[in-house]
Amino acid sequence: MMRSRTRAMLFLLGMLGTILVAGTGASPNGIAPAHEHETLSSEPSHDQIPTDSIYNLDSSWTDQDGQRLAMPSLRGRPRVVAMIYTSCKYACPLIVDEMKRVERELSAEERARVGFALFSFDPERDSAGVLKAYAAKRGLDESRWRLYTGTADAVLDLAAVLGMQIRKEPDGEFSHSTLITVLDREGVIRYRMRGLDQDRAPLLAALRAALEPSPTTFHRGQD
Amino acid sequence: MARVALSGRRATAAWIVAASLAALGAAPAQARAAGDRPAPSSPDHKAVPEGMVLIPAGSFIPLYSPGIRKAGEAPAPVAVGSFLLDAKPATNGQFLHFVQEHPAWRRSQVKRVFAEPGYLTQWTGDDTLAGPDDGDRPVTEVSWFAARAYCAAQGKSLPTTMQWEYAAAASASSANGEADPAFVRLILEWYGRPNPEVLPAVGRGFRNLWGVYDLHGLVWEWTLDFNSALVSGESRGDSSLERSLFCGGAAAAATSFRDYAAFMRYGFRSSLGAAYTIANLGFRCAAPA
Repeated sequence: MMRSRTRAMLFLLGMLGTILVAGTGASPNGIAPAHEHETLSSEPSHDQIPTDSIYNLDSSWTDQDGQRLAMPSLRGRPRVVAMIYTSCKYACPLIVDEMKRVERELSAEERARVGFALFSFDPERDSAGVLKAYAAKRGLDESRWRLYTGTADAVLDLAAVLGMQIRKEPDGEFSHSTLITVLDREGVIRYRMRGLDQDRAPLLAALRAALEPSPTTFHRGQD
Repeated sequence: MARVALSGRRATAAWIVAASLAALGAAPAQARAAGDRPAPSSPDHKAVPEGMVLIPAGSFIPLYSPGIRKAGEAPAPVAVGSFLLDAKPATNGQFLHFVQEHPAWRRSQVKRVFAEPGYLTQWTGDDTLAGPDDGDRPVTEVSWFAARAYCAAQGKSLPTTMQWEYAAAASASSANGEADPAFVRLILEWYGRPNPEVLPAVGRGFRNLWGVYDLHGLVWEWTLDFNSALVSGESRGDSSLERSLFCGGAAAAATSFRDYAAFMRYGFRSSLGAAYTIANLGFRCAAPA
């Protein structure tokens, strides 16, 4: 958790960064629609989720096979996740390349216990069918790689919990962070790799730590 | 704890503003433009919900326009459609009602992923405000997630950054206050003042042309897409972003005195995380017109 001093630093960094930033576009979705998805809070497994897990999001997504996903169902194995859009010409193919490199560097035994998830932030173009075709084109092993498309609201929420910045440009393209996140079995963020051409070792170390059999110490919601 | 950090940050901000004011030889603001002018009569046929104000469609030139433009090219005005905006920021009293109706957002229940430990710490309990007058004061120490949930519970949403900046561009007498030095000074003066120990009640401060109170001078406010301003260093290797950074740099080089206030806001927003809770960061809701 960001502590106060760090935040003050961040503010200053933000101020500096802003000099270099080109603009904030209109929100990708504008006014949020009412929640149309079912609430998951009544499910017995739900309150066992650690309070700092991103799987507390109740936004739902659809995978490349058209199956609806409830975030809590992603529990159970560590995952390497990123947000992309499939018509992206610049950074997204490199993000996927990077994730494939991570996949290759794992042992067969490790690989079998890790999930890879790509969440699209372009719901208008990335239908389940488009994601399915993308998985084939990129040679992704769909037994471990899942690709998801969601509502504009779901995109906004997930980007917020991951710390992903996304701006839709007037030409339909996106400016966005390049971010690969390691989640542990419970959906708690264990590592963030920001930017490309980074050292993969810390990410792999975080992923392997998340694979260790000893379960994370859970802290419950009440404090 | 957050309060302490904040005063440090505000002190820094105050220093920057003071330095800038000095550099520009600006005189202190003469008065707060708190006009009692009635809101312009709504041209819309739909009734405006109580507590909200219709912001008519228009266009303005934001500090940072979306899209890529060539260095030296003038920014294009951005069209903003009409929308409804809460006339005042959400208060402690209103937020208390919300958490009572939605227990998941109580201080003791909220998921850590949605709000850091500072969440609602200015209250003395799960549903106890610190004092009788706090009900009318703006609610702060609320995360983006909490603000979003509050607005959604009322069928509203957070305003987009463009909507907020457009509404906030209006002075007491003009849709675009940038040419009004008193208006610009009013804003910068607030940025330069330290945080008050206790925030004043909502609806007592600056009221703009549209009848919206406190867009300047009370608290900073969350926007729906606060995280859409990309910060340098986060995306090395992203050619798309590199291009916008390059052009953004050119735009920022043209920063005028007017832009300075917006610069502060964009800088502040880009420093936020969605779970952050801050002692002078509140919000208000918007809705489609």
